[in-house]
Amino acid sequence: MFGTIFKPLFRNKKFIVAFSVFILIVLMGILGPILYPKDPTSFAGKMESPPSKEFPLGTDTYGGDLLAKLLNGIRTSLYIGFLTAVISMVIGLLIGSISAVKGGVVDDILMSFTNIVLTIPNILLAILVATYLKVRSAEVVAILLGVLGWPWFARAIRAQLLSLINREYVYLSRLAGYTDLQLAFEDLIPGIATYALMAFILFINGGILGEAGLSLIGLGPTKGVSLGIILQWAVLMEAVRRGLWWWFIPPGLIIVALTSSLLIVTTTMDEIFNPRLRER
Amino acid sequence: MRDHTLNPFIKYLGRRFFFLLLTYFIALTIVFILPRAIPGNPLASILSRIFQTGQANPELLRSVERTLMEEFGLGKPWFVQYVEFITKALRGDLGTSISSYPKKTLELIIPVIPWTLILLIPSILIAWIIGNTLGAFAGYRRGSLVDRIALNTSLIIGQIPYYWLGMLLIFFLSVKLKIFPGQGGYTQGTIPNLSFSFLLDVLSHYILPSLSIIISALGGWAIGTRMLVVNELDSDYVSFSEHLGVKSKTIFGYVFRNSLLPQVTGLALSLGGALGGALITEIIFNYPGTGYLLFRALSTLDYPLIQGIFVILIASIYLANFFVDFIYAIIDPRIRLGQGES
Amino acid sequence: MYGPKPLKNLGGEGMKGLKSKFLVILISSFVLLSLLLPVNSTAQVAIPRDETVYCIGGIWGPPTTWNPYAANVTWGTDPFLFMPLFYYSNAKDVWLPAIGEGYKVINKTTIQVKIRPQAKWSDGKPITAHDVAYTFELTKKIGTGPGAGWDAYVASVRAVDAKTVEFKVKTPNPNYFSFLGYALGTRVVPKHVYEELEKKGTGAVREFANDDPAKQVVSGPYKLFFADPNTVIYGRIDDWWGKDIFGLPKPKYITHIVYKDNPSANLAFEKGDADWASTFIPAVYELWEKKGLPVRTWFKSKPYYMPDGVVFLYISYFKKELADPTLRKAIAYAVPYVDMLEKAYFGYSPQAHPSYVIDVFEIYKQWIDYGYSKYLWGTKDGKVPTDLKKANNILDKAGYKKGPDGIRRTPDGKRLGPYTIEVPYGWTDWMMMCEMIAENLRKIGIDIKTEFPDFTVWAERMTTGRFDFIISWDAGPGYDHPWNTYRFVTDIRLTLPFGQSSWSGNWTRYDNPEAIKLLDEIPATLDVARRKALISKLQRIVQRDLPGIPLFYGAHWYAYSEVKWVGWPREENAWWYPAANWSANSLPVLFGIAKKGETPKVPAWLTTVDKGGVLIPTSLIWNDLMKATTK
Repeated sequence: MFGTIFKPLFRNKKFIVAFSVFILIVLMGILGPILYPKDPTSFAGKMESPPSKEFPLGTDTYGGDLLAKLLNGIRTSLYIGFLTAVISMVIGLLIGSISAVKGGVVDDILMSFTNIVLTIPNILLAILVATYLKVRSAEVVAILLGVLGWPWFARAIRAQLLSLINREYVYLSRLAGYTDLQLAFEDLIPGIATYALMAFILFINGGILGEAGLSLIGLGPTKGVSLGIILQWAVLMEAVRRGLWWWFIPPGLIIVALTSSLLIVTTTMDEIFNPRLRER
Repeated sequence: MRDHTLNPFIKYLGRRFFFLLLTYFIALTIVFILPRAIPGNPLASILSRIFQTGQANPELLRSVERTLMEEFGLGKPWFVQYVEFITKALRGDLGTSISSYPKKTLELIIPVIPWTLILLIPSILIAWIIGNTLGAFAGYRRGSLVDRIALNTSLIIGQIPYYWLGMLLIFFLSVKLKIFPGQGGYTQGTIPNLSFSFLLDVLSHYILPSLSIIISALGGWAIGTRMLVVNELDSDYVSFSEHLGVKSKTIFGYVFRNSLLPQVTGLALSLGGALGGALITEIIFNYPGTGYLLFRALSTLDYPLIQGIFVILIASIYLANFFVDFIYAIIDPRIRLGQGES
Repeated sequence: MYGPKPLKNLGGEGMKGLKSKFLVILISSFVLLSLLLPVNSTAQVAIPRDETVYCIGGIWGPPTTWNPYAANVTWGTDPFLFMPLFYYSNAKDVWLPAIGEGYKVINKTTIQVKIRPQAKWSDGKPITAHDVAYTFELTKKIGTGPGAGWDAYVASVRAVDAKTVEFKVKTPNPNYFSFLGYALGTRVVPKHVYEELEKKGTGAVREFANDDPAKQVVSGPYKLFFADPNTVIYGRIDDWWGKDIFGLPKPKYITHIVYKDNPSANLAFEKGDADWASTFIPAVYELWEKKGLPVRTWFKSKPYYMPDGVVFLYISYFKKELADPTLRKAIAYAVPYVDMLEKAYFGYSPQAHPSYVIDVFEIYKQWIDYGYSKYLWGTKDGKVPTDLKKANNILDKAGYKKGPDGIRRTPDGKRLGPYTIEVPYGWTDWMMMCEMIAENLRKIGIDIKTEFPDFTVWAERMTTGRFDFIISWDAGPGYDHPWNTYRFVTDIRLTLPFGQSSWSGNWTRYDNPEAIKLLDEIPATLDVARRKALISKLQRIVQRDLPGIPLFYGAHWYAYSEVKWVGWPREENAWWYPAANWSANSLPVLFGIAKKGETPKVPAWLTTVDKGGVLIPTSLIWNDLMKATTK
């Protein structure tokens, strides 16, 4: 089964390129801090020196090693993205599937709740909530982004499930006396697994971009280094207008490379798994 | 009963209005609860500033603290504060700013709103128009080289965050090439006036931030429209028309129009995100709009001002949403004729 | 969603309508927005750069009011608009008569101040003793304003005649420091303006914005010229009453652009767009050493900046075990003073003296009991050395044994930690210091980690006393230094019980009746020798109990650029201090600078009375008071 799903993917050139870029960045995040074991929070170097042998990506105003910051930042940003995705995913799946399976009043209530969360502009809400969270760890930021990101997914899951439920085998399961939960896990979830996988990747992107956005206005994690935090300090210290390119270009490039490679991975998966698109 | 006599158009709009009002109320409640749910001394920013002037004597600090406690009504029971907050908000009184005490928050917000609107509205409309046109052409010529290049570049461009694109634009076009000014809404030290030279100055400061919004929003619209056009091309009426020998230009026209409809709703849904993005863009460009004010409010922890900005921003997004709903209701015949509401 | 849509229902009419609607929206929004833009058509479009001093660091948000009775006046109101009777300079310890012409000591409890006969408000009305007395009375009524809190030290303020005002010190236990500070240094407001407001109630006084340049009534040589959320411009009053006495200040305009933050303001300064900087500039010396810019701070070499108050490591008395003076002493030995100032603070301050006295000002050194500090800490200058071995020895000897986890236990078995040391998030220099202090404290067996909460949370913990370790400030250097510092750190009467927020001082809730007795006695003592002895006693107490461990001096952020204006005061030519543009006493700076290309001339009146100038040393006033009769 594994082979039949993934084989066609690895025949697609676009997928291979995007996937390798993604893996490369992930490896940078995981192995980087081990292979380049410098403390990202230390203030070791000279201030604002351009890339050199000693500091391959230069230093910031406080002499911080920007390569060490970047590698640790990738790690944190990926972690936040992943955690965000897990949270959004779980909430979206729960609400979407309960809504679809239960139907009736439960469905009505859950869907109006979903619509309300969807309508409240979530970037603004994230800013607002983050303002009042005093000590923000990476997890707190991820939870915040995750809790606000799920509604579109819940709606999509509900729609997908509804169309599945109306199919015959589900009807048969019900006749066989399956509970709602069993039904959800044994019949329905496998039916939406690929869709969920793609949504998961989009959530990771959302988490990474959301963290960077929050950090830029000073509402990112208050401890540790993330890609957004590096950019935030670059902006705070006027690195852009003072021409300190080594400070703000690398983290931005990583964000773009990371999110666009993930997006290309999903679109190629979409093309391959979604027969309607494949024909084109 | 009487519902049957009601115009479906009005009924639809009424329902949307009610829904948005309800959501707005919830948003207001969140705005009220948050600052009170979390500890922290709201007067800290004013009082700490007294230390920085080097004139902090204990007596002065004590009397200022007492005065401020009264002024901000801290210490009343929460439900009294809540009722006061809502009734005051409905009367347009969004409280007093802490960092710019004793200014009302509304006095601070109103002058910055035009800057944000002027930055945001033309930029997202231009992005919407160009993006959709591009997307439609790419979709119409699907599979061609043009399509593939357009698709992949918009895919990547769409992933460039507004703010980082803004930084790149400043770095290359302002710092390195010195073509455009890299910050502010107009040249420092000039006094805003309606002269031609001032408007020109504003325009030259406008281009970069606007460009950063247009470019990064463009990709998303292009991809979306391409997809819709491709779907549309697949539908029966297109093949039927093709069989009938209708000119491809005409068919493209039909397809384009039909594909735009969902993009109108998309525009409404994207407003919140676009506004959030514009706020950050303003911070990067030191552009004197709402985002810039919000940034100041955040960095001085001016909670009443932060709340005031949100009450207004969320309200304007809902108004815009309702406005788009209205347009949508006009152009979507299914709503106009009262059929097939989804 | 993907299904075909009926084409005929979507007539061209709908789309056409849509297009034209967008056009209408587009055009109408532009028209609407351009109407909404703040427009001031009568004002000049741009002010001449050559005539203007551009400032940074004074204001970070939209300007608010120019009313001294508002809790939050806009930058510039105190330095440029309203004058006190006397300005105080803390580097020279002198008073500069401004509205006041001179003082006369009547007896030990009374002084009279003569007001300059020329002194006039900007609307032409004379400035009188009634204005002075009224200012004080109004402040008492409102609760805030010029001289807030004066009635604790000044018994009465009375207009003897139109140009003579009389102050009486509150007895018994007179506090001459606070008395003189309030009497001489308080800003005066025009009675005829405020009386009108007061008739409408105290609220009207507090809410008065005073933002109309045409209606401002001021005593200083500038008044508001233009203000919007991004700019504040003050314009010189060319027929100012004091021009025959002091001359006119040189800049025609003083402008402050409201920048987003320090770095964007500093960038403008670096580019020559700003002249007078009162911001934190990282590695400021690089501006002239490396980049060769015509920029300087007060000192050409370390510490570059003058000091502005003492920054302490405060350890709260909330946790009982942390109260032990022996433990505190060990901690004082463990702090990496020199290293941390070098790395985190660019060397902008020397290590603070453990006596709490700012030893950068020559004038204050007389209060330091060097003999005791040298004996106590075993160093040449009496400063605390960083000595981890000694710190460990002290703890070993006092019975603090290390547990299996490497963390020490108090003699009665309580584990030292986990504790936190905290400063607000984003205060990079202080954050770095916290990291370095925590690292050393762990080396002497204390379980401590850093925490960087939001500013308000930090402030809440600080003012309620519920913290373990924090880095924080004192009250700043007034002419009553070091007494005000001792008072701020040790006076239990300034604070409230643990858990209740008080901003007035003594964050740690240090409680010592012996210290309070000295605190009351020092300002009541006119005899300098006796005062020295009392301060020396207090120094022994604070160095024994260590309610706060002095780390360094906060810098008086002052840097200038000579791109457009030259002759700024500095170490080699220290003709006036304080010099930061937000300092309430910095106005004289503007009289001594000159346009680039002209030769700056320090005003002759900026010398002491014995040299023909007008500056009065504080010691003269003390002498007069001492010699005076009691009745």
